Amino acid sequence: MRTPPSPVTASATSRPLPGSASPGDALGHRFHVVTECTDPALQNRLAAVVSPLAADVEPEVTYSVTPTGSGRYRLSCDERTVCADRGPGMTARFLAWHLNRNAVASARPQHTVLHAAGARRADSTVVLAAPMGCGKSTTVAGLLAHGWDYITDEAVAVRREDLRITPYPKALSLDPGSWRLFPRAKPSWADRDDRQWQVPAAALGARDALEPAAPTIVVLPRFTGTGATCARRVGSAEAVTRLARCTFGFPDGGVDDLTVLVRIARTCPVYSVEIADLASAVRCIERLAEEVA
Amino acid sequence: MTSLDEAPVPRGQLVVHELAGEAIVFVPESGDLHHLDPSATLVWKRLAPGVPLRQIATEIAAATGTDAGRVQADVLALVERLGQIGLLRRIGDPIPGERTPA
Repeated sequence: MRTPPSPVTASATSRPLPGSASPGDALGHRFHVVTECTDPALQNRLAAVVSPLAADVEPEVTYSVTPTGSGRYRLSCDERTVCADRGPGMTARFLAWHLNRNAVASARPQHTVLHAAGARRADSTVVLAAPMGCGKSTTVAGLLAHGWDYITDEAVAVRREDLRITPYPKALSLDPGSWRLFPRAKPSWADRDDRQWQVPAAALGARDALEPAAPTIVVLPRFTGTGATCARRVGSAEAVTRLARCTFGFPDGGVDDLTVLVRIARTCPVYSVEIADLASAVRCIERLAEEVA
Repeated sequence: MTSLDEAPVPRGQLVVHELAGEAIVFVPESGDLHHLDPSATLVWKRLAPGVPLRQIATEIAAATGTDAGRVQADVLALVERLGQIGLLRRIGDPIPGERTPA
């Protein structure tokens, strides 16, 4: 059971890890992070990754962070090295990456997992499915800033039995190109060496969507940065092939995953959206969601 | 070279879904996923043992009011392509996974 979200703010992400161990749940990947390090530069960054996933669970996996000297660290998972001799920022990014990887693996037996972001408002649940670098995190952050609740920015886990999405409210990973769009999300600990911000949804004024819900609209975003933002309805069969490309482990999941994608394409409209800028993309997606509702 | 007198059929062990007049064809053993447009789906659904391509082309030409010669050419080209990507077998071809006589 995930604990209710606490009112975490950007500055609150600066708090150190509670004690030496902080249990969390990433789509069933139950973990805790242990560190004896007192370096605030490290603790703040680890807390930013872990705190959105905090849960009162019995951890099955232990991540440990140990110093290797000169402000650098080794991250291990159950004593297997994940990364070594990295600075605080990269160590935290490796932790986020490893959590994602294991979250997806943990979810796949019961879920079809899309490489996608997700947000919910009222009866609308939007899924933004796209490969890396197409603007998923930025777009979902834009929706959160407009009052949507947060599902995830990385892995939309669709339960095969009822198509409902199990929330995965990890910290949003915002790359430098997005930073100017969300100045209030800047972590208090961020410095010039950070190449990515890990931002809890609360830092954007959003809440986590706690209840599983089925998607009502799927958007296939692609950031162009030029012209006007435009949307095109995608046929159901084309939607299935494009969603398959965004499905973790496809085609290894085979018929089970395909069946889920077909059911999604049959039950909710799919749009290809070329994004010129964030504001117009958010308006476009909100309009599409209202039309569907 | 495919002939209009042939009667190829979808090979076995395919997973096919039709959505709004378009087919998705999944090959589990390779993981390949193919999307057939409405015209291709129209042909695909008519492929059956003992039904020559000439008959399929004639039926589609009659149903759509399209020139029969043009439909025949399109059907041949499509079937050629479907064969190349391994979605068809001709009657008499071994069925994938089926043991052949020693």
